[in-house]
Parts: sequence; C-alpha cells; structure tokens
Amino acid sequence: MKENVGSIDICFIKWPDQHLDTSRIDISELSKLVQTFLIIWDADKIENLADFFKFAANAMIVLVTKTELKPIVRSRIDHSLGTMRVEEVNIKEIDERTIGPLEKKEHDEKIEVIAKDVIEIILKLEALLYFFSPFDLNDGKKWNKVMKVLRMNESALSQLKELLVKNDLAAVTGHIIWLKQPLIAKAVLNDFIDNGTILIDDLMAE
Amino acid sequence: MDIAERKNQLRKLAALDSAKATQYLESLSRDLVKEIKQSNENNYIAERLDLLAEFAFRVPEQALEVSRFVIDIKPKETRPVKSRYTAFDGITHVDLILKAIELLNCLRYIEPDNVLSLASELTLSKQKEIHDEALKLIQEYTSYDPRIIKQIGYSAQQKITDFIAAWSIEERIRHIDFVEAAAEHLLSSSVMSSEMTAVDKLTLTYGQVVPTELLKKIRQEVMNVILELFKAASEPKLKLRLVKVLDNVTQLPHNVKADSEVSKMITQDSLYLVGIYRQMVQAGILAVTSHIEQQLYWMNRGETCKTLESIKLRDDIMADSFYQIFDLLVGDRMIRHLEEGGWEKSEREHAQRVSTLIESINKKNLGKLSKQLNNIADQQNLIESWRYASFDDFLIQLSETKPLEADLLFEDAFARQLPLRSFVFGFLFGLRIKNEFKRWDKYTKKIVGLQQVEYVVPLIRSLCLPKGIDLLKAIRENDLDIIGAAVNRNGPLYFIKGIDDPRLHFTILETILRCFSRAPKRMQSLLIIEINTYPRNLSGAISQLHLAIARDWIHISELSSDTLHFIASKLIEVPDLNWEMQELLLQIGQHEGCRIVLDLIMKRIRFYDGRYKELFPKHYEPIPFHMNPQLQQFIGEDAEYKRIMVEWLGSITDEWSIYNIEVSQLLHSIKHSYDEILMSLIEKGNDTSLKRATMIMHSIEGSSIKLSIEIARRTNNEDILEQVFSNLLSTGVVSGEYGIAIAYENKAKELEQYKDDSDEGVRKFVASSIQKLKEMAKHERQRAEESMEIRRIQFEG
Repeated sequence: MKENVGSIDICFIKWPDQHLDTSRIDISELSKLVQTFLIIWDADKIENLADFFKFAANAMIVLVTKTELKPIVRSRIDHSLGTMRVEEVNIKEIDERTIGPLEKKEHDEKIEVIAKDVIEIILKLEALLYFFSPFDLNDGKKWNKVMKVLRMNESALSQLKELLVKNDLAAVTGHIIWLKQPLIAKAVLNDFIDNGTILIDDLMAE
Repeated sequence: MDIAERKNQLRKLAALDSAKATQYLESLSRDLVKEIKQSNENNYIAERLDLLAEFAFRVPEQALEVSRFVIDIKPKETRPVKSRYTAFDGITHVDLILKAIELLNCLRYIEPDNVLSLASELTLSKQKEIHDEALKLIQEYTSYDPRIIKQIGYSAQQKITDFIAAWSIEERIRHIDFVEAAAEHLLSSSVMSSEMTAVDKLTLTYGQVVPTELLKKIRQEVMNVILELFKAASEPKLKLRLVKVLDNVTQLPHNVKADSEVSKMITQDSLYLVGIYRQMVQAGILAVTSHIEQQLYWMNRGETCKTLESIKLRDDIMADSFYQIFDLLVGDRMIRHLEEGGWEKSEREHAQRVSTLIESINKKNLGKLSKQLNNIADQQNLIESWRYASFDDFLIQLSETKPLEADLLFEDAFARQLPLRSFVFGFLFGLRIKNEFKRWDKYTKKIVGLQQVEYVVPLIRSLCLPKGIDLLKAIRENDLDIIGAAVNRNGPLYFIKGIDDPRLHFTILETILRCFSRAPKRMQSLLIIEINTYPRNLSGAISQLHLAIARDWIHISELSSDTLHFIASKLIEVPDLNWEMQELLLQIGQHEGCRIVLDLIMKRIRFYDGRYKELFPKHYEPIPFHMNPQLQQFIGEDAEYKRIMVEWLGSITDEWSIYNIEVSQLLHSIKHSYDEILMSLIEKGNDTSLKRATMIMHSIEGSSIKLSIEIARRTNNEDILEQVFSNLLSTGVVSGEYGIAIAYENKAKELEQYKDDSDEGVRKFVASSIQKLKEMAKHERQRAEESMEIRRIQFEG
C-alpha cells in the first residue's frame, strides 16, 4: 500500500480567548516572504468571513470545521468564483463521526412521534446510558444512579428502557443495553451538562 | 467506585465540548494534585496519576506540575499490596516516574517545550526503565506520524531540532541518547502510523515524507549536528555511534516506492553526506572507516544515492594498503560475496589473498605487520565479534605455516601487553594442529604465569582439535594433565578455583568430550566432576553432551552404567526436560532399559510433590509439556509400561495431589494403552476406583466420552457422575468468539449416540448431560455476544 501524505508548513497563531474576536489575534508570526497556511479551527462558528480576509495578503486561509459552516459563510464560499472551495477531509481525530443538525433533528422528531410528553426524559436517559456505557442491566449501582438523576422509580425506568428498545433507539445484547446513535446521546449529554439539567456531581457521585 | 469505571467516566467527560465539564475536570485535577502532594503512599499516588492520565490533555498545566513533582520527590518506601491470598509488590518510585512519563506523553504536542525539557533529563536516568520510556517519548514525538503531520506539518520535528540546537556541544554529548534517538527519526524518509480503525481492525499506514523546504533544512541541520558532535567526541565508541545515526540519510521509505521528490531529496542529501563522511574518515578510526565503506557500498549499489563523489570516496578508502589488510581479515564478507560474484568464488579468492599475505610475511616486515595486526585487534570492542572469525582463521593458518613468525608476533604481544594477546587462541590452535608442542608449552607457562582466566580459556580450547586428527598422537599425557588441572581447579591452574565463568566451564566440558576417545576412563570421571562443579548450567552441559554424541566424539555405550545413572539423577531438579535432554534420555533408556526413564519421571514427580510450594512461582514441569514423540513411543511400547502405570495408578488418592495430576498427565502424554490402562481401574467397578478414574481422566484437552459412559454404567453416585460431567466440559483449545459454545454443542451431539443405551443409568446421565451442555452453550453464546458488544462500545467511546 502506498500513501503519500501531504504536508504543509503551518503557522499556528495564538488564538485569543474569544476565538471569533479577530482583533486580538497575534499575527507576528506571519511573514510576507514565506507563503503561510493559516488554519482556523472551529470555523463552523464564524459568521463574518470578511473578518478573516485581512490575513489573506500573506497567508492561505484554511477553515477547518467538524460540522457544517453557517449558511451565510457557505453561500459566500460557493459564490467566490472558485477562489475558495469546500473540501471533505478525513482526519480521524476531528472526523470521528460528528453529527450534523439534520441528523439531530431527525432523531428528536422520532422521539416526538413515539412519546411527545416525555421527550426530555428520554433524551436524558439516552445521555445517561451514553455516559455509563457499557451499561450492564444487572448493574444495580448504575441503575440507582440513573433513577436518582431522572428522579423516577424502577418500573417507570423499565418502561422507558422498553420504549427506547422498541423504537430502535437502543438494543439489548445479553445483559448489555446499547444506544443505536451514541454520538447524538453524547451531544445531548453535552447540552444537558452545560445548561445545568444534569449535574456532573450527580454523575460522578460514589 | 471501581477505578476502571471512574476512569471510563472521566474519559467521557474529557471528550465533551462542555465548559462545565472543563471546569469540573480542572477542579478535580487541582484536588488530585493536592492529594498527590500530600500523600506518603506510592500506591495512592499511582491511582491518582492514573485518573489524571484520562484527561491530562484537558488540564496540561496541572499534569505538568504533577509530573515534575513526582519526578523530583524523594523516593518513598514501597509498600506491598495485600490481597486475600497473597501480597503483591507495591508501586515503586520508578513506577511513579513511568506514570509521570505517560502523562508527559499525553502533553507532547500541547506543551512540547516543557515535555522535551523533562524528558531530556529523564533520559539521563540510571534506571533503565525510566531511560527507555523517556527515550520512547522522544521517538514518538519525533517520528513522522501521518495523523500528526496532517494537522501540524513538521512543526514537531522543527521543535526538537531547535531544542537540540539550543544545547551546547557538551550538553549534546551529555544527552547523546536523546540526540541519537531524535536524529535517527528526523533523518528517516518513512512515514508510519498504526491505529484501530474498527473494533477488530488495526490499520498500518506507510508512506513517505513530503520534501518541503523545511524538511530539507531539518535534515541538513541534523547532519551538521552529528558531524559537530563527531568532531567533539573523544571516545571512538561514541564516534561510531554517531556515524551509524547517519545511515538513515540514505534509507529509502519502507514499504512504499520512493517518489521522484523524495528520491531527489535523498540524492542531494547523499551528496552532502559523502562530504561529511570524508571528514569522518580523517579521524583514522578503523571501525568508523569500515562502517562508512560499507555504507558507501550500499549507496553505490543503487541509483538514488550513487554519485561520483560516493564512488570516489570508497575507491580512496579501498586504495589504502592497510585498509586492504583490514578488509581481508575483518571486512564484511557478505559485501565481498555480493561484489565478487558469489560465495564460492569470493571464498576462493579470499583464501588465496590470505595465503599470499602469509607467504609475504618474513622477519623483515614483521614489525610493520605487528603494528597493523595490533591495530586491527584493537578494534574488537567496536566491531561485531563475528567479523573476527576470519582474523582467527588467519592466525591459525599463520601459526600452522609460519610458526616462527607467529611466535615472534605473540612473543612481542605478550611482552608489551598488546591487543593481539586477546587473539592467542588462533595462534595456540594452529600450533596444536601442527604438533608444535614446544612452542605451545612455552605459552602455557606464560599463561600460567599471568594467572588470568581470559587466557586459560583459549589455552584449553586449543586442545579441542578438529575432526580427523589422531588424538593419540596429538594429545599428550601432559595435555590430559592440563585438562585435569582445569577441571579440578588445582595444580598450575589453581588460580581459576572459585571463578564463576560460563565460558571457562563450556570450554572445559567441550575439551573433555573432544578428548574422550583419547582416555575414556579418565575423561569420564572428569566429566562427572565438571558437571558437579558447575551445577547452575546443567542444561548447557547436557546440551554439549548431546552435541558431542551427534558429532561422533563419544558414543553412549562408552559411558558406564554409573555415569548414565549420574546423568539421569542430574535431570531430577531441572525445571523442564528440554528437547535435547529428552533425546539424551531416550538414548540412555535404549541403552539401559526403559525403567531408568520411568524411574526418573517418578523421581521428578516426587520431587515436585514434596516442594511445589517452595518452588512456586518458579517454573517446574515434572512431565515435559512437549514430549519428544520418539521418547513417547519408546515408553509406550515398552513391555513394562502398562504394568508400571497400573501400579502407579494404584497409589492415586481421593484428594487433590500433585502425584494424581502428574501421573494422569503422564498417561495423557504417552497416549499408548490409555483406554486399556484406565479400563483396568474402571472395571473394578467400586466407587473408589471409579472416582479415581474420573480424576485421572480430567484433562484440559477433554476426556474420553466412551470411558465416561463406562463409568456412568457402573455407578449412580451423584458426586462421581458430576465429576464425569465436569470432565466433559474441558474443551481444549477453541477458536473464535463462539468457540466454547460450539465445543459444548459438539459434545452434546457426540453424546446423542448413547441416549438409547440399554442401561437406564447411562440414558439418564446422557439426557441430563445433553440438556446441561445445551444450556451452557446458550449461556456461553450470550456471554460472547455481550463481550463483543462491550468491546464495540469501548472502541466507539
């Protein structure tokens, strides 16, 4: 097998705390003489592409994003008459199957159809199953934690679990319950932790 | 909470993109750092370091702080960890530092300056594990990993080159291991990585570097650093190490064809390298010049590295008359074979050149030759020892054909303590081939006078003459006395008494065996003394005896019955009877009868039975795990075997014992008459005999269904039937996730043939066994599926 691995000399700019505030970017390492690639991570958060063009005189700009660019930015690139283009790259570390907004929306709609009243609780259960995975159904300690975080009793939790399995959101192999879309559960867990719905202390409690 | 579960959860939190998760991890890391600093317990610190390692990349400052702390703290006492059954060695200070290196490794691209600085200090550690692990970190950081290059280009390689450049020459020499490891990787043109791309798939990616201007600059800088260090280094050994680092400059990428850009870069670098080589050759160190000459040969063989300069430099080296002698006597013969069109031709020409050289030697040019030979001998610590085989051959031939000149050379070497003294074997051996007793005796006196074991070894070895020589003429009574003195460590060789030198022991043994036919009785008793003097190396002695028989130096029938019993008795305490020992045992058995072999096996079983607690955890196998098939057949076909085994089975007890296990193991290993021997026990029909038969039948390879049914036919004792069923569960080696389940299902199928047996007891046993086996197979399938699912979940994260 032959693989030619591409390589570029990259200038990594010290990014300010608020990474979309380009006014505080340190550009001292950019040289007019040496063609430099400027890599901008998390480009999905960019709203005004023009802010970054000020570097274009002495750098090739590469926007790197795990998910989709904002529509306004994408439209700007698509109408750049070929001076900019979008390419799919496969860098495993940043490409570990992230989810797009559409995928998440489809997932939420699926839950809405099966249990409109308990959407949040199902999402929470998914998030917890993700966090505690691999999840053995015989593991009493884990179940107790889940019941505590969800504030529900065992029979209600069993019903919810059945619901997940019946509707193809989870499956059971032997005693192991596993999620069909763990990455969505990861994103959901992320949101729940950030908005305070799930407390890390509760998850990590002995 | 279980530590593994806690680590799993921390890993999950670290993988989130959540500000609260970050805050939590930062706070936790501060607590962990505090706990580590306050603790006096290595085991406790290690546990905390393990937790921190799960998210170190999220808290680089704290991870660095704690790594520094662990490296710098005063070692604390190691406390054993007690478990229910035994106590394990506790975590040592070295273990803690290794964990700190693991943390540093997580941070190598995040905090490269700090990580390199700490790692460079750790490469100076006298503790090999720490030194090696720190070096591994450097290698991982420096290597061209396609996953990393895709993200940061060659900035890691640039960083480490700058890091080395910032050191003074003295600092670079002090950190030579670091510089060497980094330089070797920096000069590589290969790109390689491995990663799990699916739960059951490891993908190895090979490629080649892309020669950017930065990369070319890095390679050149590294070559310059190595040259600079070469000039500054005073030790020839260090100079040779540095030259070898440059081998990588000309290496083409592994497993892929170099593209034109890479080839061009290597061609240009090779040209630059030849300039460096020319300066290195000026140092006048033979081993260095020889290495460069070999490298130039390989460079000039292909098209990528061959240049006019590389051809010229090699020609210049080869044109030197002294180097020609060096090359003839210590050169790499493999290269000559390739260069001179085949092994035979090259060997013929080599022999011719050696003869010509020897012919040209006379008293007049001896002074010059002595200087040259001593220079060559002086490189023996730098050049691989196998290359000195030709040098030894030359000295043998020289003393055979020109004993006077050879004598003068060694006279001078001994008088002035020159390096050639170390090669006295070839000289002495040549003298013995030509029966030059007088000269040999003169050097024996010198060696006895020197009282150094390093010269006794070649002296004794020189009596180990080649095949075809008449030993009656070539080995005198005096020589036998010298061998006797060496064995008894007395007389003129008293000074070797108490010296624990395996080379000496091997040489003495080999010489005894070689001279066996010269004086069989005397050598036989010396053999016994020598084996007893050096019991630590019994397996080596047996191996030599085995080899001597194969070489026809000695025949087993020449050894007395007492000697054979002595050898067999020595095999009792050997941890395992290896292949050679079993072959020797077979020969002894064929000569003395099978009883001596079976007696030895029983003595080994009794020895283990009495001391297995004392021997644990040392390895001891009374019955060889890999039994020699010929020995197996010899024992099995012996008329006495069946009777002796039935007798031994009579001593099997109802309780667990080493004796029971090993006697059963022997029965399984020999295989011969297995059913017959066991049926003799089963046919007794009483529960005691049946119970013993079930114990014997227990084997990891699985037990005979036919015999199991015969037991079930004779009893309804629940305990015995349970044991018979338990024996059926042994599956031997299975493969695949469902291997055990399939093995159970197959056992159930095999039992089907007995479900309509005329005996009610058998029918009942079979029905219940089939049902249980099917249930267990089902359960096993579920367990396998669960474990596969867990693996997938853990892989996907």
